[in-house]
Amino acid sequence: MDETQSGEFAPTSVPRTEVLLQVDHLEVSFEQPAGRPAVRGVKDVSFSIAAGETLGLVGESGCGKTMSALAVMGLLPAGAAVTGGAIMWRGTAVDARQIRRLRGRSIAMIPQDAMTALNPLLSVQRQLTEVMKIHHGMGRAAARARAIELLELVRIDEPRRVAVQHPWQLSGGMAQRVVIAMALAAEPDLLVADEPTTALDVTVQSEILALLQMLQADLGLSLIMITHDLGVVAHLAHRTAVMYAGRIVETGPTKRLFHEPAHPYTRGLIASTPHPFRVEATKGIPGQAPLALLDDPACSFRSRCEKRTEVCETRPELKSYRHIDHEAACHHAG
Amino acid sequence: MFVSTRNETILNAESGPTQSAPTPGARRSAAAARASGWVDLSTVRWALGRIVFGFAAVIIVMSAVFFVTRSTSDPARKMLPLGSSQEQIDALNARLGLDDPLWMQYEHFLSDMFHLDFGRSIWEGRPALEVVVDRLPVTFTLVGLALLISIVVFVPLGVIASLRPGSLTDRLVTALSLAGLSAPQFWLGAMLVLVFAVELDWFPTSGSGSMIYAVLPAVTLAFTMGGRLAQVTRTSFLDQAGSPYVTMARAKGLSTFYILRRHVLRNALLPILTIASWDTARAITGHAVVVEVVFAWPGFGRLVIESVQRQDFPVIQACVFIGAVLIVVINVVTDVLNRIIEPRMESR
Ligand SMILES: Nc1ncnc2c1ncn2[C@@H]1O[C@H](COP(=O)(O)OP(=O)(O)O)[C@@H](O)[C@H]1O
Ligand SMILES: [Mg+2]
Repeated sequence: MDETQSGEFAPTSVPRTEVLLQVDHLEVSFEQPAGRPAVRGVKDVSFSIAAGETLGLVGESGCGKTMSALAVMGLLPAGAAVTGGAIMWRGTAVDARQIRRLRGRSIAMIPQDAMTALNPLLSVQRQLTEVMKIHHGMGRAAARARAIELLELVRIDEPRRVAVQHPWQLSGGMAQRVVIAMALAAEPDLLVADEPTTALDVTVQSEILALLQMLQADLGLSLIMITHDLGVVAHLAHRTAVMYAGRIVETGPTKRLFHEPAHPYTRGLIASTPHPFRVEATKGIPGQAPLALLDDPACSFRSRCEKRTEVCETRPELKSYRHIDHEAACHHAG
Repeated sequence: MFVSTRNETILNAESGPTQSAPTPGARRSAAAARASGWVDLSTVRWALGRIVFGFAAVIIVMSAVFFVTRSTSDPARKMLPLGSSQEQIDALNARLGLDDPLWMQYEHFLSDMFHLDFGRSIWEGRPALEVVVDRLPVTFTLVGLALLISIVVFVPLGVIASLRPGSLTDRLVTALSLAGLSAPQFWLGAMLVLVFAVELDWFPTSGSGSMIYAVLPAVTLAFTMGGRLAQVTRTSFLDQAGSPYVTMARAKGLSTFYILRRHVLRNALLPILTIASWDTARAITGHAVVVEVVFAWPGFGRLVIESVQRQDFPVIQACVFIGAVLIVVINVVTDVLNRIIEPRMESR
């Protein structure tokens, strides 16, 4: 969340030896009433994540972060569908059926609101063990022992007591820990965490973030950290992708992106992120993010951009900015 | 689970002894015991409360019947042949105790009710309660079979329809259940008789006796009960399917069937159970009367109509009593089932 606390700003990049997941020009559209053109929720979203790496996906609410994550998991709600692009797992393109096989085995999800993500009528233990029983063929006793282990791993006191409790008996922070344990039960390679701390109060937030960071490092997991909070990303993402109105507008190693932001939107985001040890008022980005203007031939950010010129009437492509690994979609970058 | 309950007790003992009021720990442990399927004392107390409440309801209903009938009708005049003299009427009133002060009659009425004595049927001469109880097996068979068909056929149809809302299957199921729900029972019954009894000769046209007689009337009734149940099931499953815990279950890589069975079913069950029990209570206490008439089934519903037509007050009162008791019993059973499914739910 801040440099002073961790002593270091953003973890240094890991060697990107093995790319786990690669998303190429992903496009997600929503069904529209007949006659009207399809509204696209997400377009041209490309990113990749290597083994052991944390990727931060940041952007304002409504910019398409959740839809991108759900598309990767093959869990888009009714009415939404992947209409373009490719998803590759360990180098091979995967279709919907193959993604289904990866779910709960290689890819696990931590949803936004843990409390509602738990089945209210089943005990913590049952929700933890079902994945082990089904995917790993574990017996009752073994699965139960493993469940207790997992609850200890996510730092729950009295795991035996919590194991037999029901979701409504848990606090928000505990529920989030249980959901993290549930995701880990599958022994996944990749965790997709969609705003895992948004529903929690501040002290609990930092505990959960610390836990995720610890698990990611200790278990060598890959983590996609979705958030609207740049502070979170600065703290734990090796690489960051900034989304705006359904597209990725800037991506690069977190350190570079924070020290040399290329896109005016990224700069605005950084300026508007409150810093715990700076008291001066933060500056917001004026205006509102446009929705579903994906077929607009111009730059989506132009209406809110200080640097707007005529060239902004054509859409800028993502291109390298000062460094091979740092890309931005802005005519005025670099 | 047993171990866990014991742990709870130990926890309790540690946190409890100095305080007299139930500690949060004790409350939590009671909740946990309930949740893990153990019937604790509070559940028993709650169930007893429901039963007492039910009996109070029966007494209130019966009292209402007493005062309404006593103030709006003149049974002695109805029982005697037309043109009887006032003396004859007064004599009968005296014999029946109808000239006593109202509060005294009420006292007798309540005391008789507690002894399950509703007098003798004016029409049949037998004890009124016996007349009513004799009709129950027939109605129970009819409604029980209809309920079974509804649960076995229409609930799964509702589930299937909910899987793909808007699909052809969904629209077919919705059309079928709405048709069943809104088709008049006498017409539906007649059609079924025409096809399956007259044309195909698979079942007898009417009458009662063995189970084979029960099939067509039960199917007729099942269209109404099941039609509603299929709709409620569909809505309830759809509601659940959109909830985050289902997305989470899918994210865990669980199969659709497993998710339906282990996660959705129990959550979706409450409204289904409520409607099923409401419909069952309705059918038993008289709503099946059309079916009973069409298929010449001597059931409870027909008795209600007959005894009202005959002004057979003892039987009417016994009918109301049995009806009220049945509704109370069905409600208590439903509440207990609901509480088993949904441990958070406190008494309503
Ligand atoms: N069923 C839908 N039909 C049309 N648009 C939708 C639907 N669901 C979501 N959207 C739109 O998709 C966009 C992306 O949403 P989402 O991925 O949830 O944003 P984020 O997670 O970044 O807050 C939003 O602008 C939202 O309004
Ligand atoms: Mg979101």
